[in-house]
Amino acid sequence: MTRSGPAALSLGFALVASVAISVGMGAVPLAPGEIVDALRGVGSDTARMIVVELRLPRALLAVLVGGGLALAGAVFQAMLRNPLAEPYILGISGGAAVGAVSVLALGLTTVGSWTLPLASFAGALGAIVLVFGVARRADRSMDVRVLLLSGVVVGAFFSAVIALILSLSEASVVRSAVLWMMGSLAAAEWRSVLVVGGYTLPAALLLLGLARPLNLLSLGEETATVLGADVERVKVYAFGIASLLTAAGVGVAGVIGFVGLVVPHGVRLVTGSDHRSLLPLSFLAGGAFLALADVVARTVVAPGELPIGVITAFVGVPLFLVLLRRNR
Amino acid sequence: MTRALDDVRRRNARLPRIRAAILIGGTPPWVAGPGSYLDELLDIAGGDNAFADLEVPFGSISPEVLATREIDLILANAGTPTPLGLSAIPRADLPAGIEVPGPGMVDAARSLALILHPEAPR
Repeated sequence: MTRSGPAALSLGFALVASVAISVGMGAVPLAPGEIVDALRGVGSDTARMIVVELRLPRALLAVLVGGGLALAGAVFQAMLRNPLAEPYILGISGGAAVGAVSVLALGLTTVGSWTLPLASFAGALGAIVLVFGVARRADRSMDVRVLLLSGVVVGAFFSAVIALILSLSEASVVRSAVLWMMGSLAAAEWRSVLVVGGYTLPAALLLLGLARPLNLLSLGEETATVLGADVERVKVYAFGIASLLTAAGVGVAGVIGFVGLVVPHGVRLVTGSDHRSLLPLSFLAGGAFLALADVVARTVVAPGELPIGVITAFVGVPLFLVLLRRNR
Repeated sequence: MTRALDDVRRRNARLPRIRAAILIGGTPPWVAGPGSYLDELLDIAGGDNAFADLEVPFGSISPEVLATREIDLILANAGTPTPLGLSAIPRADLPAGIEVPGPGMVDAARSLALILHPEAPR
């Protein structure tokens, strides 16, 4: 039996457990009986509000966003053949931030709470179009080095745009923008779970279908072509879908670092580099990791909350070092 | 200025105290806590800070704590979305520029008092 079987079972259990912990723990203490009653639709209004309207959608959104980021990270690392690749490497976070900061600076959040996630998602899509357009214009075959450079340049441009907007904005806009850029799942609601779920799950399935060509690509583009992979098509699909997956996550939760970088490496160290197991296991591990990180973020300084990116880095770095040491 | 602020405080001292949460934006929402300028202004205008027990002058607050806190009125910067679970609570936008302490402080306290006690004779 390969190591991926037990790992899949363990991670599946970890995912379910992380959702249960996420629903069970929070800034307002609730007895286990109150939580069960709330999930059954009985009990006090307060408990139902906390469990059904706040904690459960937040836990599920954490699973979707964390899973999506980890999966996208695994794909970017395979496509760019670069261990430092992560979902934001092509400037997607910069584009999303430009969208979010623009909405805040223009005061468009008064129109509705949906304007901020929509604008950040649109900004991320804009970044994808720009990066791919620049890379395509420079090199028709979409050399990954050209794509990477294009992402870096576009990302730097977006950073300048953000700095320009913030330097011309009021203090309250700067504060809201900085908080958005730290990332949080606090805005989770059922509507966002449905939107992100309806988007993430099909995208994840499409990426899982690219596991075999990604295995071939890890041998090099020429070898992959000789072995029958349609390299150009795989690159366009893989980059495009992984970028859209990242855009969906950043749209609802802001920029959450480290999940897309460290989780695929952690899974790879345990189960190896076969993308047929690496991709689904990265999704499970990323979902469980972000759900647990969110529990820590919203309980450790209760009644306040910490930016979730702080937790993903504080937990992810030592975890990664332990895995690295064990597998050296 | 001190005299004018004392006057606002005196006029509102006999009115019922309004328990208000001051949301200043962000996700999760950030609120004004004790010792902040906005907390002091609220007190002068005849309100009690629903987050007077916060350990910092400004800080993020868990949405579930916010949803379960006893609040009469939400005071929020224009454009700050009302967090989930609070839609039944009356909300008013904070007057523009109120966050900046300065010569406009007396007008800010009067504007806030008018929001808290619109029925009171002026």
